Amino acid sequence: MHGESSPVIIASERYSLASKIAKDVTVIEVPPRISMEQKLDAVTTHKIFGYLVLAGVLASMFALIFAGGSLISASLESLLLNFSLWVEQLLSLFLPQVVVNIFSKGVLGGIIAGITIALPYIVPFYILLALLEDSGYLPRAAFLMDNLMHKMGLHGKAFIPLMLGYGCNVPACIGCRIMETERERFIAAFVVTLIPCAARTVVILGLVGRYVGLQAALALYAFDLILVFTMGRIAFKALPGEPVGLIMEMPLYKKPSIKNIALKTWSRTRDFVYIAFPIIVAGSTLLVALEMSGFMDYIVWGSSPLIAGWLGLPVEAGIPLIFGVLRKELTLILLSELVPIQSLTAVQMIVFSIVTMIYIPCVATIAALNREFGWKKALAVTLIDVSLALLIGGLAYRILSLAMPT
Amino acid sequence: MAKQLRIALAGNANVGKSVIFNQLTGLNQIVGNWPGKTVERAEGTLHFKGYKIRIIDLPGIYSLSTFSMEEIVSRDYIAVEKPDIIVNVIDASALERNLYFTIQLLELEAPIIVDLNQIDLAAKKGIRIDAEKLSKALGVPVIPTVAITGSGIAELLSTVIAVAQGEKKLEPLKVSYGREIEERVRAIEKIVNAKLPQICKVYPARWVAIKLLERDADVAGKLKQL
Repeated sequence: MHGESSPVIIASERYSLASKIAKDVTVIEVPPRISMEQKLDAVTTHKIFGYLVLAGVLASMFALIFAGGSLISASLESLLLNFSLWVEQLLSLFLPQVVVNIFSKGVLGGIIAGITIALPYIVPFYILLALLEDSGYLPRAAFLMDNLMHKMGLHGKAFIPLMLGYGCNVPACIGCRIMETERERFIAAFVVTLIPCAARTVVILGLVGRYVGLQAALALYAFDLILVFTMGRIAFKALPGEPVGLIMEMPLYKKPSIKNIALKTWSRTRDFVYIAFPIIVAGSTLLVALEMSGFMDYIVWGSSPLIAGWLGLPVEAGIPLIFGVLRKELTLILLSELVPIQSLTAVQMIVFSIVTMIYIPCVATIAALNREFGWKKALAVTLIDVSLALLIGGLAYRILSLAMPT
Repeated sequence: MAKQLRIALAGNANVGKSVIFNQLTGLNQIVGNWPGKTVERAEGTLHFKGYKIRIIDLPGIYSLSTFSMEEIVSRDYIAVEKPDIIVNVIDASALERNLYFTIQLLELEAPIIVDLNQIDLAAKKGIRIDAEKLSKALGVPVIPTVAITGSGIAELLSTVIAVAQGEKKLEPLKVSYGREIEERVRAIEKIVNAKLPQICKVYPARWVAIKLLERDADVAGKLKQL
């Protein structure tokens, strides 16, 4: 049939019909002159300026979130801690101490953990994200990143969840839905778990950035990017399937509507609360119960060859790493309670941060992975991340000890 | 009890569909997933002229590739759940590409109203669309809107109700693919009609025939399961 296959003919008939109708009903009124939007478009997708703008947008976005977030988070936390102490005292009047402890440290502690992460970091992140989305900038960022993303078998759209990951891995994993196929969604979600979220940034900056130096902290981020690309490539090669090309339209720039941004932020935050909160509360209750029943001592004792022998960390560092599964910034808080930070060597701080950065997606992320991909894949990602963290942490300990003797 | 209507919003991505949806439903919406799929599903209700209208926001179609989960979710919803009216939101500033999807919707032989959205953006580009002419060409009502400001939304709803009550008749455009393809379509259609009555209850036989000729993997898979 004209040497063409039926699918091609059908598609081209539809195109020609669409094009004919469109031409018939369209009136071009003024000769299109270069509008403000087009100028903006030209700059933001430019081969050089585009990347400068992108870097500027991302840098200011994260600076805003972290500067504002840590401020709100700290004041919120002290407020809520006072509240939980008050509840604790109230409950001790008529409940046995064990129950009070489990409730206040486990249940309340979990809720506080959720709030102090969700409100200061996630809500602002969602607002800025909706702003980028609705203004039409996000597709342009994806377009700019397309080449780089292809290097690990994904296309430009994957940049969006990866960027989300720096805020929080939970919405990032859900955000992987924008990928076309199940395979790409999973690869994207897997590399997302390796992206240091806001909580991990708190640890990296608070430990390495503060005590070892900002350069060392930035080096960790650079190393993480290399890791993300390497693991992305490996996953891309290991998983069966074909890569998919990027067909994406560039919508015009437009003024975002405040109502729409508020609605988006609200529904995403609600989603986050539904997925993450039950898991955080349950997990923190379980860990407190383990600790109070004395089981935790066995776990610490059992993990000491790994923590002290392989990673070269103080034995007590096992506890923060276990509790860090709930939320990663807990690792730093607990570590500082158990070991005087100044007693740690620079190498130990770096190793601890590397492990925290990679070792396991937090429970909320595991829950999100489970919801999106099923428990088998969630478990696989968890195991891979843990092994990877231990492997890299151990190697880093050995290499850095040679390079920077104390 | 109020009379009930079910409306589905369908269209390409980035045509302002979610803004239309938010304009229609406000905070009365539930966002979840399509069962078994990781494609977002949003649903809401509104009351208008004595009708209780349920609105489903079908996923935006991103690409024109044959395998896109968004497209399959959309067309399955339209064919299986048979909503009373489908509002096809199209971007006035990118008419041609949007009409490609509209033509595919027409082939599903469902009651369609076209929402010609973002006419303000089109005007900025120097493009004016003759909505009446477009309506004649497609054989369905075409309502111009500017979603961001809410202009045209009330007229859109009035048209939805007029069509639902049968006050406005639709005479949807029939797409013809030329003699050679049409012969094949008719031959397959006949077989589908005779051999697969269960499928014909859900999907139009002509549509199934066209999809088979397009080598649509999803439709082929559904037939295999029978």
